[in-house]
Amino acid sequence: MTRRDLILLGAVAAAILVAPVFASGYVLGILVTTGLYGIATIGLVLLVGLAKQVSLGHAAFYGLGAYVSGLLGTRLGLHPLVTIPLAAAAAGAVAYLVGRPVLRLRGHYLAMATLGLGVVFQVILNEWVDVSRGPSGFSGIASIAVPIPGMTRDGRTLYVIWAVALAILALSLWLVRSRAGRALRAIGDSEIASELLGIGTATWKLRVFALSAAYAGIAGALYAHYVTFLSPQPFGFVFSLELLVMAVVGGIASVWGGMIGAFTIVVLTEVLRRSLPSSLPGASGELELVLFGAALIAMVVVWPTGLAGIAASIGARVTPRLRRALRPAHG
Amino acid sequence: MAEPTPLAEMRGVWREFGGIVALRDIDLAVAAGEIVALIGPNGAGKTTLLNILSGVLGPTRGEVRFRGTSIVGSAPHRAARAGLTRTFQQLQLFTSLSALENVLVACEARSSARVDPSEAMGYLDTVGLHGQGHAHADTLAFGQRRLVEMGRALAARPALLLLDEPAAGLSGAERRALSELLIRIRAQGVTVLIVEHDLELALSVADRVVVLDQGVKIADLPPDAVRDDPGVVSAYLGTP
Amino acid sequence: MTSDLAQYLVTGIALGSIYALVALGFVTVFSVTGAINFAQGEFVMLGAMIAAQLVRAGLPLPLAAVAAVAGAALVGALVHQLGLRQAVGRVSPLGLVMITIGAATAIRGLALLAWGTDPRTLPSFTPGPPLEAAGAVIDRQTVWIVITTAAVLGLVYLLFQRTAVGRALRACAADLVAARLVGIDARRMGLISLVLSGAVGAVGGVALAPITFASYDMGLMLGLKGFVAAVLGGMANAPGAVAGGLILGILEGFATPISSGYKDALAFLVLIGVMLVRPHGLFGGGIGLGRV
Repeated sequence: MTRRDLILLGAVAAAILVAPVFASGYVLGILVTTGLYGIATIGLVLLVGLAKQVSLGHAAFYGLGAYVSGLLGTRLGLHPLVTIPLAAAAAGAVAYLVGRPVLRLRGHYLAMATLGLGVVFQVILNEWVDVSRGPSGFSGIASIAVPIPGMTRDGRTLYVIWAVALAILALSLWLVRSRAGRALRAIGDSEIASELLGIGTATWKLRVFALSAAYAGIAGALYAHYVTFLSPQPFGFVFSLELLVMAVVGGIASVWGGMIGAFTIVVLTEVLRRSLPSSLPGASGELELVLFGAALIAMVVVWPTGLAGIAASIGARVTPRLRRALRPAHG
Repeated sequence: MAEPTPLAEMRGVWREFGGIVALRDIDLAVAAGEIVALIGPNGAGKTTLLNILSGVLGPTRGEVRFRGTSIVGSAPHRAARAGLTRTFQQLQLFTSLSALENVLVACEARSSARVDPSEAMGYLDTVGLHGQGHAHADTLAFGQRRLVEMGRALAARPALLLLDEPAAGLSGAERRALSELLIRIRAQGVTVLIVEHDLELALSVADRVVVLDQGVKIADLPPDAVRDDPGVVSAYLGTP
Repeated sequence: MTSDLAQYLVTGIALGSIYALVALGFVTVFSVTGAINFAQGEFVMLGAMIAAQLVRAGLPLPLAAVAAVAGAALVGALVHQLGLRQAVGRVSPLGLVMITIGAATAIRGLALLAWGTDPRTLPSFTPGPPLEAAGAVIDRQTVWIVITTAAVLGLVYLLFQRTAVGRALRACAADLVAARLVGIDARRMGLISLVLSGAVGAVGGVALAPITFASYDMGLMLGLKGFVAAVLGGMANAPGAVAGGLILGILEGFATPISSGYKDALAFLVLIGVMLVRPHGLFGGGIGLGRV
C-alpha cells in the first residue's frame, strides 16, 4: 500500500462518515449499493486483473453469501457477526470445489464453468423449495444497521457496509503489492514462464478464485442484511455480467478501479432508469444489456486500462505541472 | 563401470502433432556440469524437444526424467522446483512487472523466506542490466528483454538451464557478453542445454553437440568434429 | 419401458444434433482465432428468431430460413469486424474473451428490444402426424433436425477438406504463426470462421425452433451446452465436438424423467466431471496446450 492509497482511504472514510449528515436518502442508497458491488468487483479485479481468469458466475457467489447468511439467521437465529463470515467461507469453498478441476487447465475454461455454476445456482434456488423457499423467497432477515439515534436506517447501514468495504479495499491494496500479488500478475502474464520458475500456477489461481468468491459472498451477505428480503431473481447472469462490466470499466488491473467502476455503473444505471421510462417504456432493462455489452467491447478495444488507467495517465500529466506550479518561484 | 545417473534424460521419445511426427525415437542424456548445444535446421524439432524436456509438452510416447524422476504427466513447476528452468524463443516476460520484479518473482518462487530486493538486483547485474531494474519489462530494448529473461532464469538457481535461442536478436557485442556469461554460469555448476541458430556461438561454448534433423537425432559429437561430419553437413547444406 | 427408452434416445439425438452444431462453431472460431466465442449460442437464437419473424411477416419458410442464416452470418461478421478484428494480436486472450462476452450480451439485448420476451414459433418443415418406429413416437421435425445437421456437417467437412479456404482455415488452426509465414491472411480467416459459425449456428436455430419455443434468451443455455460438447470433444477437435454434442444430447434425453430444471444442471455436472477426469476431452485433442 502506498502513501497515496492511505490518503485516499482516509478521504473515502471521511466522506462516508459525514455522508448521512449531508446526503439525501437517495444518495445514501447509491453509496450503499456502490459499497456492496464494490466489494464484489474488487474480488473480480484480483481474479481477472491479476490472474487473468474470468468468472461469469460471481452473482452466484454473491447470492450464495446472501442466502447462507439470511437462512442461518432466520432459521437458526444466528447473529450476522457469525453468519457473514460463514457466508464468505461457503462462497470460497464452493469456488474451491468448482475451480479445482477447471483451473488445472490453461485457457478460459473458468468462464464457462462459472457460467454453468450460475445456471445451477438459479436452478437450486428455484427448485429446492424446502431450503431456499423457492421463487417467492423469504423475508425477516436481521438488519445490520448500527444503533445511532436520530439517523436513518440507510445511514446506519452505510457505516457497517463501508467499514467492511474499506477493510476489503485496504486488504486488496496490500495484497496486489505483496509477493502473492506479484506471483499472480506473473501467472496472468505468462502461465508457462511462471510454471518453469517453480510457481504452482493452478494452486495460485485456485486461491485467488476462492478469495474473490469469498469477497462476493461477504458482499451478498451484507446485501441480505441490508434489504432483509431474498428471492432468486437478482442473482442471475445479468448481475454476473454487470459485476464484470464494473471491473472492466473501472480498470481491470486496479483495486481502486473496482470501486470506481462500481460507482460509475451504479450511477449510470440510476440515470438510465430515471431518464428512460418517458421515451421507452419498460425498455430500460433491455437497454442496460445492450449498453453493458457495448461498454465491455469498447473498453477492451479503446481503453483497456479503464477509468482508473485514464485517471492515472491524467494524474501523471498533471502532477509535474502541479508540482512546478506549487514550487516557490525562483524568478 | 556404472554410468552415473544423468541429470536429465529422454528415452525413446516420440512426439506427433496430428499425424505429423515432430520427434522420432529420441534418446538424450545430459550429465551434470556440461554445456550441450542442440542444433539443426529449421523445423528439426529443437523447440519441441525443449518443450518436452521442460515438461511444457508431453511426449506421445517415451520417457523423460529429471534427476532420475519421471516428469511425464506432472505439472512443469515440479521439475522447476527440483532445479530445471528455461528461457523461451518467443519471450515470456511478465510484462506487467518491472525488470526487477520479474527477477524477484523467481527468487520468491524458490523459497518462502523474505527476499531482499538487492538479491534480485544482483541477478540483473550478472546479466549486465545494472541499474535497469525499475524499467517496465515491455519498455526495454529487445536484447535487454532477453537478458531479463536470462536473469530471471538464473534467479531460480537452476541445476539445469534450458536456453531456447538466447542469442536471437542480440547485437554482436551482446552475443559476446552472452557467451562469456554462459562460461561463467557453468563455472557456478549450472548445466546448460542450449538451442542456438548461431553455430559460432553454439560451438564455442559447448562441450558436446547434438544434431537434430527432421525429428531424428543424427549426431552427438564434440564441437570440433561437427564441421567435418558428413551427416551434419548434408542436413545443413543439402546433399553435397 | 423399452419404448420410453427409445423415445428418450430420439429426443436426445435431436437435442444433441443442435448441440453438435453449436460445438462445431465453438471449435472453428477457437481454432482459428484462439477466442472462446461466447456469442455462439446467440447465433442459434438469431436463426430461430429471424426465421420466425419473417414467416410471421408472410415469407415462405425456405426463404425465411435462408434469410435467417444469412442474417446470423452477417452478425458473425460484425462480431469479428467490430470487436475481434481490432483486438486479435493486440489485446490479451482475456480481452478476446471480454469482447465475445460483450458481443453476446449486446446481441441478446438487441433481440430483446426488437422482439420482446414473448416466445415465437416456427411451423414444422413438413407438417403431418408424427412417425412411429420401435415404439417411439417421432415428431417429423425431429427427423428434419437430424437430416439438416447431417447435411451441414457434410458441407462443412467438404469445405474444410476440399477447398482452398478450408485448407487455409486448417492451417491457421494448426499453427497461426506458420500460417502467417506462408502468406495466409489470418484476419480474413478469422472473419470467415465467424461467418461460418454464425451460419452453422443459425441453421441449428431454424431447425430447432419448430419443436421448442424460440425466445431472445435461448442462446445462453444452448451456448453453454454447445461449449460443454466442445470440451467433451477436446475443444480443438471438430469431429470430437460433434460426438460430444450427441453424447450430451443423449444423456439429457435419458434424464427426461427428472425435472427439467435439474436437467439443465446435468450439462454443468458433465463439464466439471470431464475436466476432472479427462481434461483433454474424451478423444484427446488440443485442450490446455497453450502455445509456447
